[in-house]
Amino acid sequence: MQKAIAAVLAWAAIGCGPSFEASTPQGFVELEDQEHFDYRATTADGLVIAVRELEHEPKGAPDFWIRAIENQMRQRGGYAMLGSHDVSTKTGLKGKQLRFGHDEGETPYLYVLTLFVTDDQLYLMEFGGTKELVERHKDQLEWAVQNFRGK
Amino acid sequence: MTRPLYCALLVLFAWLLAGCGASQSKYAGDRNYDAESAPMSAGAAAPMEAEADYDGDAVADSDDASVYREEISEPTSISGTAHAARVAQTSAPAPGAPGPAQPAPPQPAPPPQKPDVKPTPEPKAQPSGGGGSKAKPAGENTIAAPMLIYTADVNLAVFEAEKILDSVERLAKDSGGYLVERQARRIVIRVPSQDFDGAMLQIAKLGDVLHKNVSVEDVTEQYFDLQVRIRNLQVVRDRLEELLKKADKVPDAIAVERELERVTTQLERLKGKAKLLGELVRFSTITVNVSPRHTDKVGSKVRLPFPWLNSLGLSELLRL
Repeated sequence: MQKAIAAVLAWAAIGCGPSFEASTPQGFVELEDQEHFDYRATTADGLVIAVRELEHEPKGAPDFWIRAIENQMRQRGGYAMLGSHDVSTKTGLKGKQLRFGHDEGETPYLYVLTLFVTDDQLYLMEFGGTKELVERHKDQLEWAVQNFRGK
Repeated sequence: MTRPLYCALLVLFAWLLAGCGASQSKYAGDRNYDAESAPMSAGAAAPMEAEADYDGDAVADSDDASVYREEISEPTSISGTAHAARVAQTSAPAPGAPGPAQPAPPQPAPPPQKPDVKPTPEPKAQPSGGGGSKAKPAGENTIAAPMLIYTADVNLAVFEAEKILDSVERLAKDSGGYLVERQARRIVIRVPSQDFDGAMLQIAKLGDVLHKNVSVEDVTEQYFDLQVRIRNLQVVRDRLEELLKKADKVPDAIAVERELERVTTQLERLKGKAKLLGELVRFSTITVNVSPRHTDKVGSKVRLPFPWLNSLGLSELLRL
C-alpha cells in the first residue's frame, strides 16, 4: 500500500511538475517557492525573468493569444507596444516576442514577453525591469530564450 | 470750416456710410476685436516675415464661419476629400465688390515657399496659405479655392514622453513650421497647411492614438468681406488726404486730420487682422497631448475570460 502511494506521488510529481526547462542566465539567481510563476530568477539589480506554463485550453492559434496579450497590455495595462518579432529556441520551438514600454514617473521600464504555443501548453517567458537594465542584459535574455526547452 | 469743405466732408461721410455700412454692421462685433486677445491669437506668434504679403483681413468671426468638425476616437486617417467636397459646396460664392465702380479685390500674394516644403499630392481644396485663395477679376464672384483654417488635437498614449515631444517638435521644424508651445505632456506646433495631412500621419505613428479631433474653418467669406472694407477705407483715406491738402484754414485741417487719423487707425487694424488670418490659413495648428495609458480609461473594452491575462505585466513580475 505504501509503495502504491509512493508511486502515485512520484507520478504526480513527474506528471504535474513543469513541462519545461528554463536555464538561468549568468548573473541571475533562481528564486524558490514561486506562487504565480513556475520559474523566476532575478539579478541583484532587480531585472527579473520568469516563466509561466498554462494549459492550452481552450485551443487557440498563436495569433489569437498574441492579439489577446497585446490588447491586454495596451488597453488595460497601460503599456505602449514597442514591437514584436519571431524567436526560436535551440530545440526549434517557435515563439513570438512582444516588447512593451511603460513609464513610471520619469523612469522608463521595459516588459518583454515571449510566447511559445504548443498543442498542450502555453509558455510565457517574461522579462522586466528598467529600460536601462533590460537593454544592458539583452544578451542574457536572448540566451535564456534560446535555451528554453518546452515539452 | 469753409462751406465747400464742410459739404465735401458730409458727402464723404455719407459715402462712407453707404459703402462700408453693410459690411460694418455685419461685422459689428469686430470693432472691439483685438488680435492679441482673439481666440485665434496663436497666429500672433507667427514669424513676422511670413505676414508681409497679406493685405486681407483677419477677422475670425466664428459665428459667420462655416466650421467643420471631425472627431475620431480610433487611429484613422483623415479624409481630406470629404472636407474638400463639403467646402466646395459652401464656399463657392465669395462676396464681391459692392458696386461696379469698385476695383477688383486684390489677389493675395503667394506665400514664400521654402525649398524643402513639398506640396501634398492630394488634390483637395486646401489653400497653400493665403496665396491659395485666388480672387477672380471684378464681376466674377467666385473663387478658385477656399480659405481654410485647419486645427487638430491629438491625444497619444506613448512610451517615453520626452522623446515623443522631441519628435513632434522636430517634425514641425522639418516641415517648415515652428513650435508654438511645449509643456511636460503637451506640445503645440504649426505646420504649413499643405503638410497638414502628412504631419498628422507622422504624429499618429508616434504612439497609440486615443483621440483625434480635426476641425476646418472656412474663412473665405470673412476674408473677402474684409478685403472690401480695407479697400473702401483706403479710398476714404486717399480722399481725406486730398481734402487735407485743400484745407486752407486751421480748424478745417484739424477736423480732416482727426478723421484721417481715425480712418488710418481702423485701416491698420484691419490690415493686422488680415495678416493674422493669412497666417492662420497658411499654417495649421496641431496640438498633441501625450500620456501613458491609464487602466481606468478602458473599462468598456472587451475582457477575455482568461484570468492569467490580468496578471501580466511588471507589477506582478517585479514583486519579489
